Amino acid sequence: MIRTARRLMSVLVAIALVFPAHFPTAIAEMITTEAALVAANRHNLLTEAETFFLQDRVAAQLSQLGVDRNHVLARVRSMTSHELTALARKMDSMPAGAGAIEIIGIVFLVLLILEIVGVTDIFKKI
Amino acid sequence: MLVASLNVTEFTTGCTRNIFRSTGIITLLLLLSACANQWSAVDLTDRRPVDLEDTPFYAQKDYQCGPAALATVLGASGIEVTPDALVPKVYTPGRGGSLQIDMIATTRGYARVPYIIDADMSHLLDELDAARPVLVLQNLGFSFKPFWHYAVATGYDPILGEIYLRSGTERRKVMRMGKFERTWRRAEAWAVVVLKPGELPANPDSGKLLEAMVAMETIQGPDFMVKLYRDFLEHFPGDQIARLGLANAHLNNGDLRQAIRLYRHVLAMERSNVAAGNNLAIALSRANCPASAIARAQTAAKWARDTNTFPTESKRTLDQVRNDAKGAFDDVPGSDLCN
Repeated sequence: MIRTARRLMSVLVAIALVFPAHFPTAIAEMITTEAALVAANRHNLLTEAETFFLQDRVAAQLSQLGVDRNHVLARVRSMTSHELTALARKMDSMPAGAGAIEIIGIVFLVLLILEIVGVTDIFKKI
Repeated sequence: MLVASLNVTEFTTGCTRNIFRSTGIITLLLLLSACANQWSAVDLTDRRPVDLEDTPFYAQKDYQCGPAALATVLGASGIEVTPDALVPKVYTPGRGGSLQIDMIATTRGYARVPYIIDADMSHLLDELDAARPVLVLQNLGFSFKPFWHYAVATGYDPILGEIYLRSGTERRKVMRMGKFERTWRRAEAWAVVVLKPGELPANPDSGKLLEAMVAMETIQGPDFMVKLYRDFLEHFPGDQIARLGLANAHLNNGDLRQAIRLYRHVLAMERSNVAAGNNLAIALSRANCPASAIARAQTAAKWARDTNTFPTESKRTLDQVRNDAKGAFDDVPGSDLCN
C-alpha cells in the first residue's frame, strides 16, 4: 500500500520535473540546514525530487535484499542525501558486518599456518 | 589439538574452496607477514589501562554482530534496546550482514549522534580514556576475501599492548593491539562513538561534528535540534551554519522571535548568506511583517543571483512572500519583531 503510494508519488514528481509549468511554483521554500551545509562545502546539492527518487531507489534495493517492507521506509528516511547517494551507487560492494562465528575457522587456519611456517609464536602449548 | 581439528573441519566445509582456488596461498601468507611490519604501532607512553566493565554485552546470534554491537554502544550511552529490536532496522538479509550507513542512520532514531572518529588508533584510545566504548568495523579476512565484523572496543592495557572487545559471543575478547589495528585498518579504520546531546567526542573536528548533527534533522524534531545546536554553539560560537540550524529549528517550532533574532545574527556575520536571508523573509512574513519580509526576500534573491546559490528557492520565497502580503505592504504597527 505504502509502496504503491510512493510509486504514484514518484510518477507525479517525474511529471512535475518534466512539465514544471503545470505545478504551482510559489511555495515559500525554507532552505534546510543540510542544504546550507552542502552548499557551504561546495558539494552537489540534491533537489527534493532527486532525494525522493534516491530514497525510492535505495528502498527498492533494500527490500530486494530481504529487508521487511515496513522497515525500509523508516531506514531511508533517517539517511542524509549523501548517504543515500552512496548507497544507491554501491550498496552491493559496501561492507556488511556479519559475525565472527563463521570466521573463527579461517582465522584459525591462517594462524596455524603462520605458526607452522614460523612467522608467529602464539600456540606455545601445542 | 582437538579444538583445532574441529575448527579446521568447519572451515573446510565452509570456505576452503574459495581460498584454495586462488593460487599461491603461501605466497600470500608471506606477503602478509612482510606487510605486517609496515603498520606503525600507536604510541602508548603516558597511557593508563582502561576497562569499561559496565558496558553491556549482547552475544550475537547468527550473522547479527551489527545489531549486537549497536545495542552495546547504545546501552552504554543510556539507551536500553535489545539486538532483536535492532535486527529489522540494521540487518540486511540479502547481504548477510549490516551496512555501516544503516548502523549510523538507526543510531539517529535513538536520539544519539553517531560520530565517525578519525582513522587514528590514538583517537580510538582517547575515546576509551573518556569512558566511551567505540563501535568498530574489522575485516577479519583478507582484502580480496573480506569478512566484515562489528565489535565494540571497551578498554586496553598499554603495558601489555592489548585491547578488549565485546565481540561476537565473547564478553571480553582480548586482542593484541597491533593485530587489532591491522584488522581495523583493513576495514578502512571505521570507528564510531554515539554521543548524547551536549556530549563532545574526545578529538572533536567541528566540521565533522556539525555534519553529524545536521544529519539528525532527518529524523529528530525541532525541540531536539534546538538543544543540539545550542550545545554545539556553546563550544563553537563562530559557526554560522549551526546558528542557521538553530534558527531553522526555532522557525519549525513556531518560535518566530528566536528564529528572527538568530537569522539576523547570521546575516550580521555573513551579509551574503542566502539561506539566512531567505528563511528570515519567511519568518518575517509569518510574523506579520510583510514590508520587512519582502525587502528581505528581495535582498536574498539578489544575493542568490549574484552568488548562484539557491536561486530557485529564493525566487519562490519572494513570490510567496509577496503573495502572502495580499496588498498589505506595511508591517504591523508597533511590532518589535519586524525591525
